Amino acid sequence: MSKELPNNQRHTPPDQYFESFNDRLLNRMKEEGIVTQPPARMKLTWLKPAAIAASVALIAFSVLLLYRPSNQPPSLTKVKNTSSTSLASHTASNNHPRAAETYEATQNQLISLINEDLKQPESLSQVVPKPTTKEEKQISKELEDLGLTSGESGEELLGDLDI
Amino acid sequence: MSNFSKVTDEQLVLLFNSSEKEQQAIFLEMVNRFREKVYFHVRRILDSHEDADDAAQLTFIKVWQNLPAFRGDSRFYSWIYRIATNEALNILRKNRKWESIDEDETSEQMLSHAEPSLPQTLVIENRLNEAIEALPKKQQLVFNLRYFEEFSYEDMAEITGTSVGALKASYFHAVKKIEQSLTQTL
Repeated sequence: MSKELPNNQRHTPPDQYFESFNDRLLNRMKEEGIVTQPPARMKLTWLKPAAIAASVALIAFSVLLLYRPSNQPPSLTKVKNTSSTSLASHTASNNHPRAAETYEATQNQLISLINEDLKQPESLSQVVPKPTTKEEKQISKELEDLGLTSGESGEELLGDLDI
Repeated sequence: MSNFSKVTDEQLVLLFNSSEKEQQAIFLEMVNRFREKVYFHVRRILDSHEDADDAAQLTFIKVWQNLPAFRGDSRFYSWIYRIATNEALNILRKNRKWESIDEDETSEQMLSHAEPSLPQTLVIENRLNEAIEALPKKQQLVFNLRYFEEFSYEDMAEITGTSVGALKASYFHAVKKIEQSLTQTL
């Protein structure tokens, strides 16, 4: 675009003038506070690990809060010996929604297990067949002496046993 | 080589204003493109290298500060030249030289001595420089922009904030004075 300058020493800058121009310009801009230093990258070198460590700690703490041992559902055997009322009170005392759901599911599962358990011996007649012979009648009498009737259903028996 | 070497001046401006992270790299690319032109432009206005260096640096500082406000109403290079011209004229004023600058100022400093040992082309160049330096500052500026930088009058109007008609008149007077000086001295 422009013509070459006349070959005149008066307009020629010192050697390396343009090569060092950028550095001198940037230094001046920094000294006058026009550009800031150090760059943000320097801060990130320690900020990044700190942020990662804080995140990991937060996640670990959250996991501990959710799944700490006191929140874990009791074992099946333990629950079997616990009444539904105590289960309900236990559930009610736990404010965490997920824990409440877990307990509710466990409670339902236990009730169904107990029901199945109760239904399994459908009738004692399978276990204790009706007496047909003399000997059988003898057994039947002995059962009656024990307070058991040979024709009673399993449910009735279990009811008597107050399970 | 810079990542921005194939980007146009106007694209550089857009990038500068949209990418905060890379502003410094984009700015340095602008400096690389214009530092020599700016230096020689202000050097023609100012008498010393130190003043020209100061004006060139101040030009790019103003570019950095005002780029976010640059809306592309004028072309980028003419915008930079306008800043450079203003910075050079400010330094001239500070040096109390601008007071004597007048459009109708007559040149009394035209030199006529030649170094006999120099080749003829260098002698002519020296005469030309001396004739230009003897011009009033405003005519110098107009002549340099038109003759050396080959700017259009429209661009020069943007740079100097002067009408095209006034610029043509200034350039005409400058050329006449230089011709007169060269005729007398060669």
